[in-house]
Amino acid sequence: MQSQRILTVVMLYLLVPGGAWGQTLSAEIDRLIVAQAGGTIAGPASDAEFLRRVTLDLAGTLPTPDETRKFLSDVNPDKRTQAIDRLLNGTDYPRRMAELSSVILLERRDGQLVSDAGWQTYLRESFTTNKPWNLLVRDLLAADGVDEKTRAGLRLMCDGGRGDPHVRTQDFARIFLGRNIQCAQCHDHPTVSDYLQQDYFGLFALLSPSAVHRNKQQQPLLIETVVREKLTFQSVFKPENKQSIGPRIPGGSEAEIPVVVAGQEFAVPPQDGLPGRPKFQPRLLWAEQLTAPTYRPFARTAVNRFWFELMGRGLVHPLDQDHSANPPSHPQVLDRLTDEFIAHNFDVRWLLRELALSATYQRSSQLPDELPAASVVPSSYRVALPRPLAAEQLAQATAQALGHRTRLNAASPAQDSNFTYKDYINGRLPPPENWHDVLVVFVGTFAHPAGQAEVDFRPSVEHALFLENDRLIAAWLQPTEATLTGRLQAMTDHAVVAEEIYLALLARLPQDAERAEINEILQSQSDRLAAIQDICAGILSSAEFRLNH
Amino acid sequence: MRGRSLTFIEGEVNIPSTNCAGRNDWNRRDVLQSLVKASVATVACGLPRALPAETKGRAKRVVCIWLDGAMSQLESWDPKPGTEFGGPFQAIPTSVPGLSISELMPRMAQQMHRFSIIRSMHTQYEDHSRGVIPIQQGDPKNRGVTYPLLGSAVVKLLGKEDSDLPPYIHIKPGSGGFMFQDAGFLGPKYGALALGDGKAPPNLVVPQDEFKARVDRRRQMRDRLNSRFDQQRLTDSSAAYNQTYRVAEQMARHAELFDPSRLRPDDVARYGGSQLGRHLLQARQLIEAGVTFVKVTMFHWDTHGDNFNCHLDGVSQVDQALAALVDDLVVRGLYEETLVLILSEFGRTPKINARVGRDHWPECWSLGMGGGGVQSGGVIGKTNDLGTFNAHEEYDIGHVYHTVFRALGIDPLLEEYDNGGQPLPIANEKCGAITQLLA
Amino acid sequence: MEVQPQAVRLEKSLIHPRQLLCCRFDADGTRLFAAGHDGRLYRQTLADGQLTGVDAHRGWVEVMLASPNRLLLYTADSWGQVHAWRATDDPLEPAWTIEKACATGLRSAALSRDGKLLATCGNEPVVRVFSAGNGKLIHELRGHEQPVFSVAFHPDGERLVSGDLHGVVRDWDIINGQCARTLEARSLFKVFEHYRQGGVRAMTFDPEGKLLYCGGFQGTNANQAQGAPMVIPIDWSTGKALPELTPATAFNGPLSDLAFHPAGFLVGAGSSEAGGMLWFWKPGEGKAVHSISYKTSLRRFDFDPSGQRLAVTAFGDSNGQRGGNGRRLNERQQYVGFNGEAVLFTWQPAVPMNPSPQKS
Repeated sequence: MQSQRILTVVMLYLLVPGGAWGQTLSAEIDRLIVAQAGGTIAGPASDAEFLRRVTLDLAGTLPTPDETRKFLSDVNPDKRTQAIDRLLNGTDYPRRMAELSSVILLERRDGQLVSDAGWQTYLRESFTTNKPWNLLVRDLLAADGVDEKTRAGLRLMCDGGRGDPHVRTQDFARIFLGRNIQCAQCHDHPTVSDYLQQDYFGLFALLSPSAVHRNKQQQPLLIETVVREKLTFQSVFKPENKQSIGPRIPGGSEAEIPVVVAGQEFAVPPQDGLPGRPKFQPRLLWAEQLTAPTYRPFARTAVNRFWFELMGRGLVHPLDQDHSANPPSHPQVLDRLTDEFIAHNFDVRWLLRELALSATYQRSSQLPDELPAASVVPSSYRVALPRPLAAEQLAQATAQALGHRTRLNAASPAQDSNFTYKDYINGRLPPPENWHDVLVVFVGTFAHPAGQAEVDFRPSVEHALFLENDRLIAAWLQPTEATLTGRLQAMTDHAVVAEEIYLALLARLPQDAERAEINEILQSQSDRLAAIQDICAGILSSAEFRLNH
Repeated sequence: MRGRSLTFIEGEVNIPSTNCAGRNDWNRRDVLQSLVKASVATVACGLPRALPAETKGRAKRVVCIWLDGAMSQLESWDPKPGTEFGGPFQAIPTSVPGLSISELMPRMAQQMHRFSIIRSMHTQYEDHSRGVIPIQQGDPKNRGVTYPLLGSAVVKLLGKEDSDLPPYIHIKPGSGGFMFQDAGFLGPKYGALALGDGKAPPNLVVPQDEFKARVDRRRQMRDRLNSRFDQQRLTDSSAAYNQTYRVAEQMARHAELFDPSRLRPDDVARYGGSQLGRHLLQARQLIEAGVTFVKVTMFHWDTHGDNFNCHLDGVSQVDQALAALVDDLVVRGLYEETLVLILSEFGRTPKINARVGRDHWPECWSLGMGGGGVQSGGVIGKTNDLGTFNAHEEYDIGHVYHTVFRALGIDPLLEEYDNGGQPLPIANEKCGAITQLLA
Repeated sequence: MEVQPQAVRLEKSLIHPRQLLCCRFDADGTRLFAAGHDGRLYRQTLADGQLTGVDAHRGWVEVMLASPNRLLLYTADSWGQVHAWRATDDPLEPAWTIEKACATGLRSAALSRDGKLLATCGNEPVVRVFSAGNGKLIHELRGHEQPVFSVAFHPDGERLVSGDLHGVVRDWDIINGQCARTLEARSLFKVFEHYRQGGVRAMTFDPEGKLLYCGGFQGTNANQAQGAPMVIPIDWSTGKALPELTPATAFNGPLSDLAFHPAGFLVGAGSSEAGGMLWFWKPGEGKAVHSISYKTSLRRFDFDPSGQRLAVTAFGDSNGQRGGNGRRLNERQQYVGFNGEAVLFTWQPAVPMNPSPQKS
């Protein structure tokens, strides 16, 4: 016990330069994590491990062999910080963040109101300008579709099943408040004492008046119904006990419902077959109150989610169980990050930078030799946790590794693509030839079903069979000048081939045994292309490729 | 680990006087119910009997039929015709003298000498969200670990995880996948391969001979990388992922078993032509091929409205498919080695609601069991004349778990799990096997 | 007196010990026969509510019919037994009995307009026609492939229709017992995965026999009988389906009965989670012109001989009990089922509460 404590203290000094506490936020996070580690922690990730991880996280793809080579040979002690800054300011960052935030906000719900392209463009532009997270969310929630520039917001509020206000209420409570309050629709949560039915209906009162109407040009417009009175509800366990509540954000105060004078309820009166736009719009209250810097649950939930995305486990975990009986693993870390995120005006790029700079993020996923893996609990962050690549990351990584990314990104997608996953997987369509359709295939195969938070790894036989046998992968393994197998075929030195394969697919150099392995395969096989394809396909189906580790 | 004894269990429970929750209140209920005028009772089941056993010996495989949403006991195994809550249907005599079941099960009525019923289940959960998983886990005591579902448990305890075929297959309507979550703390190796509507997932390819060497080379490449990767890493994710490739290989080796289009039309017709019938027929083929545990799920039993029309349709499908399965297993000499289990998460209320529906009822319900290791023609337990509560002893799902394990030759009093050094009972230690049901 | 659908109003509810399924008025409209889950045949004096009953059936009494003069009464139960009763007997006892009119799950029955023929159907693909005078079997009509949900005689007395689960309607020639043609009301049937939902749950002809009305619902899920009620009119001469009749407001549950009021409008009853409803359709209008709701599910109904009253059976909600999941005991720790109601609606004007004395 004593020796363990000494060891921990020694490590603290090693981790914090000069032993100065609280110099930077990332250093402070590391101090708090280490203080609670309860045992040996893993060493820092190797340069290759770090570069692959941070590129997947901040650019959503793999580093190219050249990028990896350059990074490995760089002797600058600040090269990791430089890499982080380069990625955060790179052209892939807004795309990666648009994909990630879309998964967070929509949970794979698709929709008819706003096109994919319109939605993705809106998000990408927001991350290009580094729009503060609270303002991004506020504007999406407040959008009514009148202004074309913000019409994408309708997708968050009303599309893909969220036309049902109960779905909207339950989704938003999970996504923005970290609370799974589904049970509270019918009664106070049976096992979580913090989740009350009145919170559910206060939130429901904010969100339920919104509905989509179409004008004569068939443009969708979000118009709220006139709210005249509080909502009444009762527990199914006590149906005789009727309660009522007006619009109220959980933990906030109930909004006064204005007395409605007939004829004066509308800011914009009913016209052209559309209902009037009421003066009192609870949705706008929700958008403002939720994203106000003074409303902590929003910032806390966002911080927890971005932490989860980079570290593999939420400080509050599961992510939708933020309540007093399930405290954060590191309350001070969550509090500090929440404070600072608010103080930095909800700057996502700043937050990701601080997290990526931390030793916690930059830890190796390999434990020291003497430490049995079973003795390490994931919530200790003593070792980096392997995480699955999201469908988009996997598509990028696969295309990048096999040498198709540049070509596919350059191909312009059909404006009204009729490409569907179902048609493709049933053999009715040829392999996709542009990035949009490639994503349709990868999302169809690897994403969770619509409406389910993508916060857990659900490997499936279907995934394995796709990477092993699908036509798209087979096509990508065919040699042309630009593709990996084509490049490899042109190389004569087996050692160079081994290095290129490992750099392209796994973003690291091969170990000696791995070089020998490839040398042996190439020497023993008369069909060199087949051997190269088999090596690449084998690596493609490995856990090392599938996981961000 | 197998073979280590548990020291904290004293003896075996034969006829439990209390259920898992320790309640023992049926006496009071009997008094209450005696105040309610009982109508004609035609079911004479009484105490369990041991008929000349057609099935002897130990089961090696399991077919588990899961009727999701909860089938009504009153419209199936425990009819109370002509009584207050009995519903419109009649009871019919069966091949077991004195035993009647619902008229909706005429084919199973002819198979009852090969099957047994527990009529006095009493469980703890009255809603689906909380009941479905614990019931399939045997409702173990909470020790802060996720227990495996029955299929994963059986594969582990029979040591079948390294079979040539996926040892645990789940045939269900809708989509399939690899349900590693079923395995809980046992780990993904014990997860279920789910076949959506009996079908293999897309991209299942049987490699032609000339390509086999290349498939092997790819696998070898992958396996070597994976074993290096797993060294000194937390392997929850990679283990689950790598298992999916092993299952994919097994499926490719036996692709014909995963192609429902190859089922013979006359077989399909014998099983009733329904979706459940096709799935049970496929289950029989998988069992024949050596799969250890096949779970077949049928959804939509939550008949809060129009209960009787729904059960007319649903129970008839169950009746024809189950009777054909029992028949086929007997004809093939497999029934003595195959345990057939059919159950839901609870029963349905005796009370008929305003939508002519029945709601959720864990107080007293029935499940069916037959084949290897268990008695034939047995009836365990009895509900009162109105079917509202159990009349005598009652059994929780923990008892059923003990019984299933015993039928498979696994002694829950001697065997336990080893969860990384933490010993865990394989079945709820407050329950015991229903020994009258064991062959 | 002119009877308008809109003038209907709730008169009163008569409480029964158990859930009721069917009812008929007696010849002078002063007493109501009713039966349901407990198999008893009840006779109730409407003026004072006095109730007597006899043990009559073992299964659920699914259907009750009255001869044209209402002196003979027929009851049929889910186990297939049919009793004929003289309505004026006291105590009531069966005049004769058909022990097994249906092998399994009898659902419905109908009487020809002249009162001479009785048809039954249930959970088998067979329709049987009996003499309504002595219960003798006349025809076994085979041809359906599904359980048969409802039967109705054409007013001309020569044809009988039967509707099954899949919405197939067979038109039978009663003289020779042959199926003359097959009609379709298939939109009353839906399949959800393995569950089959729907069926022609009620049928009736208009008084002239020009249109056949087939009622049911359009199921929206597998196991709850939810979905909008719907009536499909079929032109009797051409056999073609006409635009359907629907409620004017949303309702989520099946139609349970359908009959023509003597004044020439069609009435339907239905049940849902939220309660029951009566709908009134005028010929040629697709949406119900009027509807009246009731707090609990409504089953089958009858008009009194004057056409001034409608009695409908209902699943009660009293006995201090609630439905729902799990064990629900009353305050005396008893497990009690729901009661039943016979609900009276009337077209007679309401009697003023405080009639002012008239001076002549």
